[in-house]
Amino acid sequence: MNALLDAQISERIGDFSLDVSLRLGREIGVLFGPSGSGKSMTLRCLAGLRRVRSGRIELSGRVLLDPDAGICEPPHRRKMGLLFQDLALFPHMTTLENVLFGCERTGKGRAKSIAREWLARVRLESLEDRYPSQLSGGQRQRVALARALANEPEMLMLDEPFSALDGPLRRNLRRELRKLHDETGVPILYVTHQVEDICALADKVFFIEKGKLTGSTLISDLTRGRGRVDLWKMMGWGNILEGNVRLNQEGVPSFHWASGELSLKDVPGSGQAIAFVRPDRVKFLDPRMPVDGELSGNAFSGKVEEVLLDGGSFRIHVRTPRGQWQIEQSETASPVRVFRPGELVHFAIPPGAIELIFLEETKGDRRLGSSIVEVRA
Amino acid sequence: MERALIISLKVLAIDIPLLALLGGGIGWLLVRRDFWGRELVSLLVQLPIILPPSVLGLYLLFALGRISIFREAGFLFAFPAAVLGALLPSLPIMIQASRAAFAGVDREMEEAALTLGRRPWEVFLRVTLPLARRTLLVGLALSSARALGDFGVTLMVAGNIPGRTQTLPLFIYGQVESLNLARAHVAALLLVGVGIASLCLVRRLESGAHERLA
Repeated sequence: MNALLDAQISERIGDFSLDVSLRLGREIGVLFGPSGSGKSMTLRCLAGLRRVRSGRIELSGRVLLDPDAGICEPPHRRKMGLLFQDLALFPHMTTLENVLFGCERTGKGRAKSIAREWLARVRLESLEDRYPSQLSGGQRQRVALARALANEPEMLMLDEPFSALDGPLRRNLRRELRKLHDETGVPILYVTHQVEDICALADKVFFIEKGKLTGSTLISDLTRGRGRVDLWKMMGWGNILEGNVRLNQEGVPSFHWASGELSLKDVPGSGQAIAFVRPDRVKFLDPRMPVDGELSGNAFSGKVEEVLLDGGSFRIHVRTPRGQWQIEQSETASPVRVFRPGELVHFAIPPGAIELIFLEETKGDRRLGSSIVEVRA
Repeated sequence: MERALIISLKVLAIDIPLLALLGGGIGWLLVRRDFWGRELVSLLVQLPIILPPSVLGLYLLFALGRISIFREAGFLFAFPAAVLGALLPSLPIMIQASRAAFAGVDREMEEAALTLGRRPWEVFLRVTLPLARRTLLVGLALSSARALGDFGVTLMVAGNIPGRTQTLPLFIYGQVESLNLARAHVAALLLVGVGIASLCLVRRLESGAHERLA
């Protein structure tokens, strides 16, 4: 795919240095990294809200920044929409006026119909006379989206625009954004620190840490194989174990790693492998109830170390004698159990939830084996 | 008294636009532009509030008398001096309000407007100014009231010449000196009325601003 955005930015601010290069086609790219890693600053540099001393930015064939050639287009000529975390809707303008502000230059009469069309697209046509303070959170997000798109930007950037919204609303807006992207074909660069957003929205992920790009990858390349493990590793998400798959005399497979073993289900083959367990596939057990036979071999207990609310789910870190485990519980799970740090919990890894990636040993250099097997429940 | 009232109104007619432009402009510069010596400038522009009017008047007297353009233009002890005398001590009030007004405008609003393809001056007129409007108007009302009521600085640089530089506050002083207390009272009442009216305006603007924010 031809890159519409080709950007390379180097900038120092005090102790912090930003050094990223991005290429993006007609896709949705996600900038993923911990807070303070320079994601928002990257967007500001791209939009021209922050002066960059060295680098180069090209969008749809237009050079927006090239300090050596003395080119630095001001933000209003870059045609790059930016949706701020706080949305920055103009409080003194109605919904319609806000959207009009983005497209008025096309001539008054036409602009009004364009603005109304965009409001209809985000299903807000009936609220055009309301002020932003009279709208709900989700409605405000949609106004901001309509305003940015009505300006017909050549690229749209979003700085964690849905972070203030809860689960179902977030999902709706993500769907809406995806739909708008499919309709308009505008490349989108989206900043997030939530894993969920990547899986649901992105075509391409850029990993950024401490101002540096640590990797980028296409989501389609990640649906299987080693790449997926790399993705989870980079995101610090999931339970990754390195060990061996062995078959006993009866041919029953199990996975052995440094501090224990897990029973497996229907595995063709054996050998060195990586086992990956999605945190949301781990099951909590009630010690008063009998354990399902399948789970009994893979039961653990340990102390809760940390509980994080991330998006619509709780992420719980549990320390056991056999390593640390990440477990995720959806906020909408029923019954919702509230975990506290220090609490003793029991959980099990369903054999069907263990994804295996076989590795081949060649002179100490580990390569992806010929047989990549994913076990699905 | 009518003549003093007319002179006061003429002074205001010139000072209000000057306050809006100069005070508003300096306040904006101090908030939105980073330049060498900004701290010093922001300190200096506040000085006229603290200095006694006689000290301020003395320096202005020297400035108008020594600087050749002002001297040749005959500003001293004439109507222009009354305009300047009222402007100088009220300007810091407007600058202070303007700083608060522009500092209160979220930078992201302006940045969003820029990314929507608007030129900086359009952003200023359509976003910054409307959002800062109420606080600016509060500042303008208060500083205009201060300009209308100036006594000391005007007396020092413009004198107390009936029909030329005698503004309402100076008129009151003159009437008290010549024991025309009734006329002094009428003029004083007029100024009290203007004062109350401007405070009411300020109150209304401020409560309106809160409603908008809520």
